[in-house]
Amino acid sequence: MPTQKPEDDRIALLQGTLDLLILRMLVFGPRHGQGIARHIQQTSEDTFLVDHGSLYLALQRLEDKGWISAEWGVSDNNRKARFYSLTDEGRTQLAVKASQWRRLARAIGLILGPEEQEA
Amino acid sequence: MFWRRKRSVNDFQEEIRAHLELEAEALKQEGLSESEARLAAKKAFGNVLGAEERFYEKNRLRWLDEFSQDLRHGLRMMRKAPGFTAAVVVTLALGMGANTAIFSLIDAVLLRSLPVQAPEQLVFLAAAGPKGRGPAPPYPCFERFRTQTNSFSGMAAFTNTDVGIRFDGPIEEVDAARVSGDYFRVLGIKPAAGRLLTPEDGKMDPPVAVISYDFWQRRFGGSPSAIGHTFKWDGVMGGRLFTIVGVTAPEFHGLLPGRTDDLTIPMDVTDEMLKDTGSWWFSAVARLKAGANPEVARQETDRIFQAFMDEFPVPAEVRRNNFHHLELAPASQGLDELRRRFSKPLWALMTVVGLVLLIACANITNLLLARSAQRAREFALRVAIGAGRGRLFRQLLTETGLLFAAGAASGLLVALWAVRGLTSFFAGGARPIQLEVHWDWRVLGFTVGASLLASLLFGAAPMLRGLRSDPNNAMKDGGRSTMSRGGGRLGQLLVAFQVALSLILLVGATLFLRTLQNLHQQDMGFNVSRVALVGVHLPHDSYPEAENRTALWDRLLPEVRSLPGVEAAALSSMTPLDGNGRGVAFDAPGFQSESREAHSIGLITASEGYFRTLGISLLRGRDFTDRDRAGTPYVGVINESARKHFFGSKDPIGTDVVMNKRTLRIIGVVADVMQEDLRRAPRRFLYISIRQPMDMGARQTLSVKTAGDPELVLPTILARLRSLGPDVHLLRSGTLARQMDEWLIQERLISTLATAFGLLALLLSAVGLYGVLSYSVARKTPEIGVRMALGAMPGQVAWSILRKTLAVIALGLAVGIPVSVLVSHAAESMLFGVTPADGLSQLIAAALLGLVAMAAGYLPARRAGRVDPLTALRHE
Repeated sequence: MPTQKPEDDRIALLQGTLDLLILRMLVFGPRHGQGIARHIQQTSEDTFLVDHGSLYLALQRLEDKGWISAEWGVSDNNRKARFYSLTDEGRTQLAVKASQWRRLARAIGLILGPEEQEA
Repeated sequence: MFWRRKRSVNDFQEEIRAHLELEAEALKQEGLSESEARLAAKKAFGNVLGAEERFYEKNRLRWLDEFSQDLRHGLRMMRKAPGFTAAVVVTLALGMGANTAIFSLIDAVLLRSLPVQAPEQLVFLAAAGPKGRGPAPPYPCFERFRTQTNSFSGMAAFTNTDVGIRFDGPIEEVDAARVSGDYFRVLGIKPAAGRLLTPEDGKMDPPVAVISYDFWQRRFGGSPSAIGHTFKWDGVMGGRLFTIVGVTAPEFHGLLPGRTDDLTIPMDVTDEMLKDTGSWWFSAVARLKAGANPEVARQETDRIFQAFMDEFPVPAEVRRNNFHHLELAPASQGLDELRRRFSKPLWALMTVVGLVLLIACANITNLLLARSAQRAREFALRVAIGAGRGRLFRQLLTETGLLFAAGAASGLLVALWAVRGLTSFFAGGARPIQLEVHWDWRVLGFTVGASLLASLLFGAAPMLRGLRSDPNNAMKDGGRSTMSRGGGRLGQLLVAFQVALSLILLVGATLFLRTLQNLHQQDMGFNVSRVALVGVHLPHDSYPEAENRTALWDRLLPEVRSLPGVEAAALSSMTPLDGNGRGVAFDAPGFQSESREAHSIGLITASEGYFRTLGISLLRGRDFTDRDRAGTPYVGVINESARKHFFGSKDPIGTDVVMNKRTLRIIGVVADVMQEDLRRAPRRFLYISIRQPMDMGARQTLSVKTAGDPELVLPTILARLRSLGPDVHLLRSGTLARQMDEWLIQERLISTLATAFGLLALLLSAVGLYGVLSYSVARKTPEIGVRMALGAMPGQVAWSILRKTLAVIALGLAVGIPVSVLVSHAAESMLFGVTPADGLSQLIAAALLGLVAMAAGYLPARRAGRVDPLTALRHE
């Protein structure tokens, strides 16, 4: 598995962050589930391990909430796949969640302090 | 959002499959082999089945799954304990059945609207005053309403009468309505066949008629050929030939609840009647325009009415008392005579059956409590292996709900049967009350609501007890002592509650029974036993003149008197309690009063022998004879009340009095008779001779005193009457006793049912007491065994149980007696000769209750006394 980091180095996703990441991934247009998973992994430089089973349940949850919509379509390599796209509601939610997350990350960063001091 | 159409599981599986393929493809491009890529894709996905399951669970209506699970479980539990289930279901069936039956009567009599278009727009126009509501004002005033108001979209006049009509054979007596031509248009009734009456038909040229659906079925078998049939009727204008032109819709029975207008004919009225400004002879129904304000409409009509009354004055007293103002009475339920008569008894019965249901439910609570104690181990086990309390609660709720639903459903069957009995009770006798009891949404809603409420109210305690079971304790001692002491106390409190309610019901039943007895046993002034009654009508065609009729009466009386088994026979215009009444003005020399009321007297036309036939004592003077005829001086007999009122201390015999401008001589005084009402003091009455009649007198009632059972002699009498001539029209026949029973229908209804329900309550309470005590004895068997082993005497043990019974009964009585006085006060107007706080009734009820309760408590007590210490202890 050349492109993937050893399992130990990966961080299991924090509760609630998967939804945010999914919404973010869909900003650039419709994607299918497998594409979303790959993209999260690649963008996070393989830091995140996306449990595919959880991903699909999260997708379903977001769809039920009306933040994303889904449609069956055909992938680049001509395979049938279910494509998800952001709804207006989803876009608003993304903005809200992203700002929440940034504040949280900053706050945690402040508390933890610069990286060198830890060692 | 469980209502939204969910994505199917298949679709989800399809998506996962697509994912795995896409992932494998991607991995292959990164250099993995086909099989490696597939494996890796699967591995990365994690548990496919798990994801699918989670998706399934998330998407399913989980509560529905669990509910159907609980339902199946509940049914299984019911099957597993058939005795328990049967006890609960039968108890509930009796309680719910009684409630549904009485409520369906209330629905039919008190709540249901007439099956007409927009019934809420209908009003009756009636003159009213402090003395009650009367009919509509005279026709000319009604005409002004019709032409000078804006609030109404239509108005119709109608009267209800019994008429004798003749198709081909003998005269048939039918209930009829005589109506103005726009009657059906105002009501918005559709024909079931043919057409209904139109304003054009009001001219009676040619006379036409409409029949009811029931009559169409009964008389013509629903045949279309009924339309076009003709019949003859002697109306006000003499014999006319009517043609049937249509049939009313099946659900329409007329405006008088409890009665079906089999025939509806246009009012055949003479011009004089239409112009008469002093006759109040019909009722009026009107339809308010949509959105019209009823108060504005009332003021509008009242103005016209007051102007009319000023123009054509009546005595001030009458105007004040009866014709004070015009009222718009809601007509959505029809004329309310039936409702007025039965609303009190029916609500009283509803209270009674409500109490019975409470008693029944208390029993069920006790049964459920005992059962939840038995099942404590089961619940504990469930909790121990991880069942959530909420889940357990839902299961218990389903089980309890199921039991109550089964009870309610069986209750409907009981009600079905009970309603049949009740309607036939109303429909019996010469004047049947036809109740249209059918189960509409209101009745079913009531049953469902009552059973839901009952299951929540009375199932709650046992459910909570079940939930509270502590796994530790329950498992430790084999679930034997999990029922806390509090549980036993709750059971006993429930039984005390039942005893109190039963006492209230038994006191009520005793009061009503004594009321009926008092009404029967009071001195009514006549003898009700062994008197047969036959209504006789002499049609105008064959008996046009008074002489013709007198001649027939002269022939009829000796014929009947000569029959075997007949002791006496007489004719009269009225008989006691037949519901008829006639008042006239009376003037005696020396009697002075300005009040019209003081001059009024009831009038009865009677033949010789009437007083003897009915057992009315002649106090002074003589009876009529067959020689008191048209050619001889007019004579009259007064009753004791009239004598006191008009003559005081003077002897009236031989005095000439004036009655409605006719002078007659008083020849006798008879005892007062409860002619119209058994609950009020008799009115003043004047009897005149049938051979010197005041008016046509074509309708008379033949009373026959028989030696034996009048019902047995009745056929002979009827046969002899028929042989008198083809044109003698025989009306209703029966006995005086039955006539009295019909008058007492409310009292009989309520006393019969209150007694039946009181006994049912007693039985249920006894069962409840027995159950609670038996259960407590059974549970205490080891304890009793120990006590006996330690030297307690059987008598002591039995007494300890009996003492408990006594305490429960005493508590129940202590609460029940004061409450029963309160409850009976509400029913005071229905009582007669007893007071609500009647000590004897309370004593009877308490004694009966105590006796039955002690009997119910004795059996478990005896069982406790007979516990064999050895056997009991071996159980441990």
